[in-house]
Parts: sequence; C-alpha cells; structure tokens
Amino acid sequence: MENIKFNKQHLKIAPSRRAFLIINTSLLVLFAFVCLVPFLNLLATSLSSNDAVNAGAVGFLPVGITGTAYKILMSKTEFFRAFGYSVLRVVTGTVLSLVVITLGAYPLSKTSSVFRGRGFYVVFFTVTMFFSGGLVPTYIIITRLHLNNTIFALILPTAMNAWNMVLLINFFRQVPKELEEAAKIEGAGHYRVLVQIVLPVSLPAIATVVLFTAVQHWNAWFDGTIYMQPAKLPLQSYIYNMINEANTLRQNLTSSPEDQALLATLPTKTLESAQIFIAMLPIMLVYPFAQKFFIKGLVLGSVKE
Amino acid sequence: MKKIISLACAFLLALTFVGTLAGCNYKKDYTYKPINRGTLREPEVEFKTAAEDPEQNAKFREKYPTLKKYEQPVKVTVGAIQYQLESDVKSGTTPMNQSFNKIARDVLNIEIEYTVVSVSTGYDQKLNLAISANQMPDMFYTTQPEMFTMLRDTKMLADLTDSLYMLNDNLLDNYLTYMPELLEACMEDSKLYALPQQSNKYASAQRLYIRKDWLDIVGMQAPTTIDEMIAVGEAFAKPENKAKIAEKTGVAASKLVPLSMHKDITYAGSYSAEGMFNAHGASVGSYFKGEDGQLYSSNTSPEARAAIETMRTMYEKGILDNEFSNITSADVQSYVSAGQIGMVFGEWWLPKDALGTCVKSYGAKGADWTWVDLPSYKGNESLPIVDTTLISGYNLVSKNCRNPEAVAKLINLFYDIYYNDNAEQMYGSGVLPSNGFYYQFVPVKVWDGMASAAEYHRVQTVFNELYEGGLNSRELLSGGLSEDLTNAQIAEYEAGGGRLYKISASEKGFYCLNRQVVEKINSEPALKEAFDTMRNREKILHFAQGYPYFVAYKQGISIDKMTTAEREGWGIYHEMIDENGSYAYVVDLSEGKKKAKYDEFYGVALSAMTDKGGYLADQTGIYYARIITGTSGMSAFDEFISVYNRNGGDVILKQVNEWYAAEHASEN
Repeated sequence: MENIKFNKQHLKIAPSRRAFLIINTSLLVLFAFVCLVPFLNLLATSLSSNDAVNAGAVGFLPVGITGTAYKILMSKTEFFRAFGYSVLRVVTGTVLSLVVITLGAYPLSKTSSVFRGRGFYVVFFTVTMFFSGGLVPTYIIITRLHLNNTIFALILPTAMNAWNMVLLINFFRQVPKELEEAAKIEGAGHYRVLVQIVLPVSLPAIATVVLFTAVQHWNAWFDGTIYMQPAKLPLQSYIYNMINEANTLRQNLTSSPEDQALLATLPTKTLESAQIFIAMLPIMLVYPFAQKFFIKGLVLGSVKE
Repeated sequence: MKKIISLACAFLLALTFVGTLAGCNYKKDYTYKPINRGTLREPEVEFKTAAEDPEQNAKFREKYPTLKKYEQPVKVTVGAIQYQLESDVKSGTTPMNQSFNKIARDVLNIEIEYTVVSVSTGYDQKLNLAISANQMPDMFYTTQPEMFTMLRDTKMLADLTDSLYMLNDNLLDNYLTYMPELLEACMEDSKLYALPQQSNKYASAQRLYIRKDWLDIVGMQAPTTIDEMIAVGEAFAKPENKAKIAEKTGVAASKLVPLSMHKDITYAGSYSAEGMFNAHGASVGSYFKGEDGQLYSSNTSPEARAAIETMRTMYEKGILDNEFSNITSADVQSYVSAGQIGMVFGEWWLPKDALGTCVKSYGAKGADWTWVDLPSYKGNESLPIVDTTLISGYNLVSKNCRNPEAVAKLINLFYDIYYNDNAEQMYGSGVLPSNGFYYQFVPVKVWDGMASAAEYHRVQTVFNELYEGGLNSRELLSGGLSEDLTNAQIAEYEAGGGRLYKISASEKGFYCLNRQVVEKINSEPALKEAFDTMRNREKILHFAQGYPYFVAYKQGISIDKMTTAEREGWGIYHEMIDENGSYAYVVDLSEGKKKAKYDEFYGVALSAMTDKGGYLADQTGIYYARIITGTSGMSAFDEFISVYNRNGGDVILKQVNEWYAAEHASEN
C-alpha cells in the first residue's frame, strides 16, 4: 500500500508540465483538425445539392444531401479509364523501379575492394539526384524513342530513383556478411544471394521503397500532361486538367456563345469534388497499413551498429 | 599548378561580380521599334464576290479555288485541343476519330495527322515543347499572341497570302472589306504570317443588372444616370426597405447588399468594377486619345478619378458592398445566386449564369432581374469600352509545310459545314454532331460574326413562328421538355420516325424532347418546317429550356405563378432569345445600332508593359481600394498619379505613343 502511494507521488506531474501537456495536446488536436478541414469540405461539397454549392452555403456539413454526384461519377467512363490507367502505372512502374533499384543497390552495397569502380558509380548516380537534363532534352529523348503516348513514357524516366537506391544500399550493408558467405560456400552465385538471402531479410526496406514509388506514381501529374494524349491520361493529370480547365474557363469567361456552350460541358462543383475525393481514397487507405514500414524505412541506416 | 587554378577561379569570380554589377546598372532601351508591315500582295486576278460580279469571280476562282481536291493524297500534321464534348456530340468522339477527318479525306484528299493533342490546359505547353524539340506540326491554331510573334520573328512560319485568297467569298470579303486591320496585325514585310480568327469584341460590353422585384418594392425605376443609381442604392440600403425585401423574398435582411463587385479592381470581367469605370469614361489598363492627339493612360485620368469618387460615395453610404475588398468574382456570383444582391455590373452572359440561378431559387417569391445600358455621368453619354480589334487566335502554318494552301481548304470546308444549313446534303450525315462532328476539334478555326448574328435573329423568329403556329399550350409543355427515357423507349421512338434530341448529358435528366411535343411538331408541316430550320447544335437546347418559359411569359404569367420548369428557362430566354435580351445588346453593338468606346492600344504587350506593368497594376489596385474604402482621402489620387508615372507609367506611355504613331503612320 505504502509502495503504491509512493509510486503515485513519484509520478505526480508538476503543474507546469501539466499545463504544457494540455496546451500541447490541444494545439496538436487543433492542427490535426485543420488538416482535416479541406477533406471535410470536399466530402460535404460532393454530397450536397448543386444549388447549395453555387450559393456558397456548404461548409463542413452537406446541405441538401444527395448522391447525384456519385451516381453520375459511376457512369463517367473517362474517370474510371484514368483510374485504371493510374493503377496500371503504379503496378508496372513500381515493379520495374524495384527491379532496377535492387539490381543497382546490390553491387553498390559491396566494398570497393570487391567491386572496383564502385566510387565512380556512386558519384554517377548521386549526381542524378541533384541535376537533370532539363525538360526539353527529356522530351526530345522520349519522342525520339517513340515512347510518346505509351505507358513507358511515364515509368521509364523515373524507374531509376537514386534516393531510393541509396536507401536500399544502406540496408543491404546491414545484412550480416556471414549469411552471404554461408550461401557462397554452398555454391550460390550473386543472383541467388540477392534473391534468396538479401531480399528476404530486407523486406522492411523493400516495403518502404515500394510505398515511396507507388505514392510517387499515383500522385505524378506533370509527365502525364506532357507525354500522353487525352485518352490515356493517368488519374492525377486528368484531375489537374479538369480543375484547371474549369478555373480558366470560369475566370476568363470570354465572349462568344461558343465559349458559353463549352462552359456547359464542365462538371459541376459537386461532381468535381466527388472525383477528387475518390482519387484520394486509395492512398488514404494504403497509408494506415503501410505506416509501420514507412516509419521503419525513414530511420533506415540512420544508426550504425 | 594549384596556384594557377586558384588564380583562375578568383579571376572568374571577379568577372561574375563585375558582370552582376554591370547588369544592375544596365538601362534598358524602351524605344518602340516599329514592324515594317508593308502592304498585302495583290491577287493576280482582281477579286469580286460572286454576288457582285459572277464572271470576274469565276476568273478569280480559277486562279484561287476554294475546295479543289488534291490529285494525290496530301498529309498534314496538326495540333488540336481535346475539349470536353458538348452534349449533342457522339460520345467517344476525339480529334483523331472525328468525322471531319473523313470528310477532309473524301472531299479534299487531305490526310490529317494529329501530332500534338492535349486537353486545353496543357496544350500551349505541349506545343511549346514540340516546337523546341523541332517537331512543330505543319499547321495549328493558337490563342497566344506571344507564340505567334515568337514564331514570326524566328522565321518559322509560311507566307499565307495565297491561302488568304483561296478562302471562300464570305470570309475573304470579311477580311478585305471589314477587317483589314486584323490582317495587318499578322503581317511583316508584306507577308501574311497567320490567318487570324476574329472574336466579337463587343461581347465584353458591360451593362448594369438590377433586381426588378426590389425596384418594385421601393417603388422606383431602373436608373439611367449615376445620380439615379445612387438614389436607387440608397433606397435599397434603407433598413425599412431591407425589411420589406427580406419579408417578401425570405432572405435575411442583414445579408442584403444594394451593389456588389469583387476585389480585383483592376481586372475587368463579370461582377467587376469595369462597368462603373466605363460609365465614367474610364477603363483600367486602357489608353485613349486625348485632345492633343496623343494617347493617355486611363488609370491616371480624370475619368478614373470621377469613378473612384462615385464608388467612394457609394461605399460611404452603404450602397457598395462594404466587404468588397475581401471577395472574389466567384463569391459575388454565389451571393447573386443566393438572392442577396440588388445590382451588379457585367457582360451579356449573366442571365444564364448567377441571375438565372437566383430566379430559379427565388422566382417563386418574385425574384426577377432587369438590365439597362451603363448609367450616364454628368450628362455625358456612357459607353461600354471595348478593344479596337480583337484577335482571338491565329491559324499558323509551318514554313516547312509542303502544302500551306491546305489550311485555306480546311477552313473553307469547316465553314461550309458549320455555317451552312445544307451541309448535310453537301457532305453527308458526317456533318451532324451525333455522327461525330465537333466544331471544337477541327484543327483550324474561323468565326463569322455576320452569320452568328443572323442566326441569333433566326431563333427569335422561329420561337414566334412556333407560337403563332399553335405550339402554345402550357399544359402540353408542362413538366419541362426533358424526360428520362430508357434506351428501349428511345429506340422505339426513333423507329417510329420521331426525332429525339439529347438535351443534357450532365447532372439532370438524360434525354429528350418530350414525346407529345415532338408529335405535335411533326404533325403540322408549318411547325416542322420552322423547327427544322434551327441548326441542331445548341439551338435545340435553347428550345428545350427556353420555350416553356417563353410560352408562359408570352401569356402574361408572372414569374411567381410559373411552374419550376418554366422558371428554369428564364436565363436562357432573356439571354439568347428575347429581342430585348442581354445578347441582343451585343448584336446591336456589332451591327452598329448602338455605340461603344474603344481602347486604342491592342496587340502584344510592349516591352515596357511586360517589365513594369505588373507592379503598376498592383499599385493601381492598392491606391484605388484605399481611396474607395476611405482609408485615404481623395487627394491620394494625386499621389497615385506621381507614384504611377515615376515607377514606369511615363515610360510605358511613351512607348505606347511611339507604337501608336507607327501603327497609324499610313493614315497621316
């Protein structure tokens, strides 16, 4: 009994500390709420009636609740085509990227005595982290290779991501040498060592790289607008265009009846919001599950044993 | 060795430093360098239209044929913007599979290949990239004057003088007789580097829109002078009147605002201060000719000062929205829709925009709008201020294109399809939007203002004919004209010879003209004849939305007694169909029945404007807002004038006057 009392006293929090905790927690809650605000507004807009949205009456709660926007969205083939194309891009892009990065990271994780010229390659790849050829040369390469309007224009240029490779190099280095040596004694070559020994023990790092790459592919919009024709736009480019087109048309509402007719082809605000919301969903759903890998991945290689 | 390297580095560093300093000191020369436009090369045979002199026209056309088919297939690469489809266009239509391509192949033997295709947002960027990568399409259309001048100055464009003469009579006559200044703007050294698309410069003309039911409540007439406008505003602002309006319309009295506009004072457009400036004879960013023959900047003019003073008075009296410096154009739009605003300035399209939404939502409680020309100031007639010439885009041809005249042939073909009632007989059913023709996808663009105005008059006539012809029963038209039909019903109906029109692919209802209406139209030849003269695209939409309202309106039913569906037609009817509607004003201006005032500067921004204009526009907005809201006194306007001129206003004005002298050199 005495003991417990003592413990309680021992744990008693000083008033200043308590004040700090209260203020800190409320500020963090507030901050989290502020982050949520746009999402709430978007969701409310997508569920409200058009007239209410046009009258500016929608805040965090839907006004005149209706599912029309989502019903129309279901019949909007371009949206789902773009969605499908983005999924295709994420899957092929991530697989390709993973293969290239792993094949690059494995040899570079060896010491210079094993892999001569390693220093050169490290510098070579690091340079690409800071400098690129620029937009026009990249465009020329892509078009000269006739990659325009194919999925390769989106996944090849970003397949080799130096930053992700450095991440993997550092992780591979932490794999105990003994494992590899044992495998070699059993007669395994480099490829077998990589696939059967190194990769299985590096799962957290691989998961992080997969997540990084997938998110990057899902969110990329610029390359889509440059290289792809409208029928093959990935989702984010499609949404970017949709919003920008609406904004420019609404702002410049120029002259002719023709422009006015064009304006009538635009999706309504509610439909716009519904599309943005659906586009956010996959990533929002993936994050909670992938978060543990994510955090682990972020501190990769930060501590040396 | 090391010493040499470090010495070299130090030298380079010093050089950079000196270079930077020199750059700071560099004084840019803003003298305007005139472009030698020259004169347009005459055609080898004198041009007369077929109406003027058929024989001469035949000779001319022998030399410059309009639609002569190539003997061998000719391939041209083009750029195109893939806009959203309008509701009457066959779904799945793209620039690459549109019916225009096939018609061009059959009629002209031209094979169109689309090398730069984008939705409208990324088009310019994509085109720029393709040009930098030396992959410019043979021909394309751009709305960017900067792109045109850049390509012209780098000698990448073909001379289109011959192509110009190959345009059909209407277009060629339009260019040569009515719009020679348009061609001139595209010339250099007697060569024509673009076929410009004109735009209706009068479409931006401002008017004052007023809540009619509010006027009735306060017992006043629509204002014709600024003083009357202030009186109406004061009446709207009185608490007892606000209470009456609130009681009648159900909108809270605290939310009612007599006059609203958005915060961007220097930006013209809907719901802006532009109409107010115009009423006083000013327009931000414009240049007018003074009595001395020199241009002066409207920003610092006495007219602008008068406009600011009026707005200051209105702000003080609670007439002008006291929140205006915080709200955007979209905000005003939503307040108008929500029935909170008594007066706004804007262009012709407001009725179908926010005013229509307002009537739709509050029409049952009497919400109604009226509009007047700009109120006059101190006895001077107030005119809308518009651009002198308005080129909305350029049809360009690469100098590497082997068949530059193909651009004229394509334009002629497009014109035949788009502006001709007999297009279907001439080129087959491919010209119908329902079969994949979409005017926005055609890689060349041209606009015929005369034909557009004629069509506008025609819709009014058809409405009257239909009404007189017996299509005037509110019961028949009740429930609006849209009806959700199943695909089976549509198939059955079309098999029976009925013509169905898809009205809107967007949010509400998917199809079509109400069955009884189509039957009624088809049953009487006079009605059918009148109805079928309306060109398909868009006009059917006008009919479907506007006709029920028109019938009720013609029968003298007041807005609050109409059905919801009838009220929905208010916007489209009073905008595009009504003889006194908002678009009628634009037509009157175009046909010279009403007058406008012109901004004397036009074309690509001058170098001084590019360098100094942004800062000056900001300063203009800041000073204006401070004076209107009473933060500064009226005397701050003098301070503004000196700040404006000191920071580059005088440099710009000098360059503008040099430009003006060069452009009008031939006149003197």
